[in-house]
Amino acid sequence: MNYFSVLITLLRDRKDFIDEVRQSTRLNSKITSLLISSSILFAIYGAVIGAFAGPLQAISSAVKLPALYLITLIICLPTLYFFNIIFGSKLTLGQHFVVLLGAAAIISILLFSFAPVTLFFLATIDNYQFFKLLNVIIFGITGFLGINFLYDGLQALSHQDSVGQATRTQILQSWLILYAFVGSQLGWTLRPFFGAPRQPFELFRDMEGNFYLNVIQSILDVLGLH
Amino acid sequence: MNYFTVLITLLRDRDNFVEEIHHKARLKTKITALLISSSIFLAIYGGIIGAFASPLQVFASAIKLPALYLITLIICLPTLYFFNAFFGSKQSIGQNLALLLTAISITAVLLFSFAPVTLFFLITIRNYQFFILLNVVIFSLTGFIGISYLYQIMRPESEQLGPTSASSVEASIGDDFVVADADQKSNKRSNKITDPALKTRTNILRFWLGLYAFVGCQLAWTLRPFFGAPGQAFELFRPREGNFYLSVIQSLLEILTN
Repeated sequence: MNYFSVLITLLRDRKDFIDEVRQSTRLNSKITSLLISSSILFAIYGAVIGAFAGPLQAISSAVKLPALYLITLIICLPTLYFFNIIFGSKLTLGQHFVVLLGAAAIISILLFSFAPVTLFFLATIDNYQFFKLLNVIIFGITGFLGINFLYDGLQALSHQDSVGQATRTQILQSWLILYAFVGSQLGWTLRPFFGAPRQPFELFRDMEGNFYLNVIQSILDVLGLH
Repeated sequence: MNYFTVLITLLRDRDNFVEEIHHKARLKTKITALLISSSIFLAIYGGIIGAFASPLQVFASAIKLPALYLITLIICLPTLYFFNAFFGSKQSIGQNLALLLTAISITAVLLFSFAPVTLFFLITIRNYQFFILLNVVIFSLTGFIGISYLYQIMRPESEQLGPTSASSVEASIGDDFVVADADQKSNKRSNKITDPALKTRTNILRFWLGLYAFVGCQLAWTLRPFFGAPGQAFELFRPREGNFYLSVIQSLLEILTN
């Protein structure tokens, strides 16, 4: 259970954590611990949201939620790393990975902290739309705090590489958009997470087109151009 | 695998790398290493975009993508070299080649950094037009960064100022700045003498960048297919018809009106 000690250190004293990352102390063990602890916490929250539809959905979402956050992270990591390097950052790939995992781990622990609240509403209110909306807010708040950590962490780490700092902030902002882009497509591919009521349990729904084409077509429909 | 060492040195300290090129330090090693490492990265990305259609297309595109960048480079290199030499540049053709390869390597590394993203969308979205547009965005972004970088390192001023250029351009440390300032003033005086030639060479560089883009797009169209349209059998080269720009506009229209 030593995996959680890194996570607790991260939560309590983020400055120390960033200092250790800057000096590259024990990066590999940080990576393993953060991967394992955040997967477990994401899985627990996934189980809670899946429980709305039934035990099978609980298990399926417990696997899908960590996969969603962590796979998106891994897909987008090289892009952030190479762009940062080219615009002056001196951080290694390992350091980038640890900071990103740190952000994901913070999101996972904050989600876990909301789990009793979500469970409570799961038990007392049987309304699918309300449950979805509640979770949109929870995911929004936790995501926002995780992203704040990412910004502060990367800025603190590259404090001495002042050359190109403004460009790298822009890169980070664009990268966040890329992360959201890849993440929403992966979320759409992996659906369902909640399990709409009255629909039988399915591991994956049919891949009807993709998220963005659907959105564009909806917009065109609304504008009457279809 | 020493080829990647040179590439990593380039990534970590680009100013130093360009300085070394200006001083002709180990040019041949740099040129070979950059040629090989950028070809490998471009081949990997080409393989991914070819994977949309079929395994044969994977191999075809893995060869065509590096070929595209490098052949365009070789076609346009003499123009750049002779025009510059005519207007006063002291750089050898080897130095020009090394500088151009530096810019291409940067583009190759950035494309490679997008490889997981493209692979992800290859697997999850099976829409040809979307995939094409995604890649147009990626190629434009990486190409733009590569070309801006090329413009920076090939500007005639950076060649003339020599060893002091790095510290005077950055101007971050106080005492260094004073020394560089004096140097820069004397350089500026001699620069003023050759100023018209400097301006001409800057214009030549801009013109050449346009030429490079022009040749590149047409070569891309000639070498097609890179992606392999669904429903069409694998062909090494499609018959010559239409052009690059019409095709991009058509993809956009198809997405909007589908």
